[in-house]
Amino acid sequence: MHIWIILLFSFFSFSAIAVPPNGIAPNFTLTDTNDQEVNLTDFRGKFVVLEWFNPDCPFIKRHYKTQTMTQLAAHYKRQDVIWLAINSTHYMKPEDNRRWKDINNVPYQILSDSDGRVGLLYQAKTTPHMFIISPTGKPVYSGAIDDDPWGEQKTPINYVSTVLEALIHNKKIPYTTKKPYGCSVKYTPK
Amino acid sequence: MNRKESTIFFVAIFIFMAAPPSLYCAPLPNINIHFLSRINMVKANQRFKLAVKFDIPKPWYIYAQNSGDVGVATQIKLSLPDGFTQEQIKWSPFQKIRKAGGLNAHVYQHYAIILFTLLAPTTLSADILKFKVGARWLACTENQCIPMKKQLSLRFPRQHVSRIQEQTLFKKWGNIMLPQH
Repeated sequence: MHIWIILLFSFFSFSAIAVPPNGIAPNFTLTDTNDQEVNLTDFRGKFVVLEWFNPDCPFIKRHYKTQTMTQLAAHYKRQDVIWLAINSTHYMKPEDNRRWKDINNVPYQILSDSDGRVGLLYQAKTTPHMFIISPTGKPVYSGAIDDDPWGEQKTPINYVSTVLEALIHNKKIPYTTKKPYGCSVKYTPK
Repeated sequence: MNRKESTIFFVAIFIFMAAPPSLYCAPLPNINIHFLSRINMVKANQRFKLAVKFDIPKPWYIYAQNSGDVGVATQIKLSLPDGFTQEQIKWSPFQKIRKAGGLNAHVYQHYAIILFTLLAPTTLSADILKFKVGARWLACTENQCIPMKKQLSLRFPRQHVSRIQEQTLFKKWGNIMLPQH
């Protein structure tokens, strides 16, 4: 009887958090702009950054104009960090991602999730909303890209960079979550 | 219009109609922001109120200080003359809306009011006192968002909201906002 109560409790506490803090990040398979399937488990053994993204969102436009994401991705690629952008916008097609990738010289894959399945699995709320996954597949950070929602600070603190630096140098990460800011992810209306 | 021109015209119309919503030229939100006072001049050691009011036409909304799961909190920065202190700030109640994907948003629709209670210093050195407010907000509809900002100022005693304007504006919503003493 006790075991059933414990199992039931574990189920509900697990299902309440889409990305369990001490568990494994949910696996997914999505297609990129070349119609190639990308599976999260392909990158086991490496740090993975997931960036929720929507080309129509002014926060995304600003971060790509200032190259926040592309420069960070290029910098950490040298440390073998994988960067993936995921577009869960219900009205967008892989062509929209391809166009954005070409115009902005995006060096990483942009994955299409227009049915929002993976976005909902990760509880992605905003664009941008960042997730960092450890080489063992554990989610280690979820939240904002930086502390500068209006883009007006001279030296904003980049949370993703701060966490990655700590992880790469085997230091304690200063935070596991920061409130994300930006447009709401445009999931399919019910 | 000759045949060639009419063909071009209809092709252009067709391209426009076939374009995805993101390519349409969306109208900018006509959100008005007012910096209001219910006094004409400031006396030394006086406690008084200033208000910032947003007029938000449909279908736009802006985010509350606690924006919920999404968005960005509306930011209001008040700059005061030397010696003045801000004693209190009150925001009008926000609405909770649930967006696709079960995301909660705390927003202001139609209007938002932010009321400041200020205290003047015991001595006033300047003849003209300038109060400035800087506001940043994210205006959104269901499909799009636009970051906006505005700076406004009030000068006392030479430049102020007229008594008539003040009465009409404050009578409408001032009593709801004012702290009960």
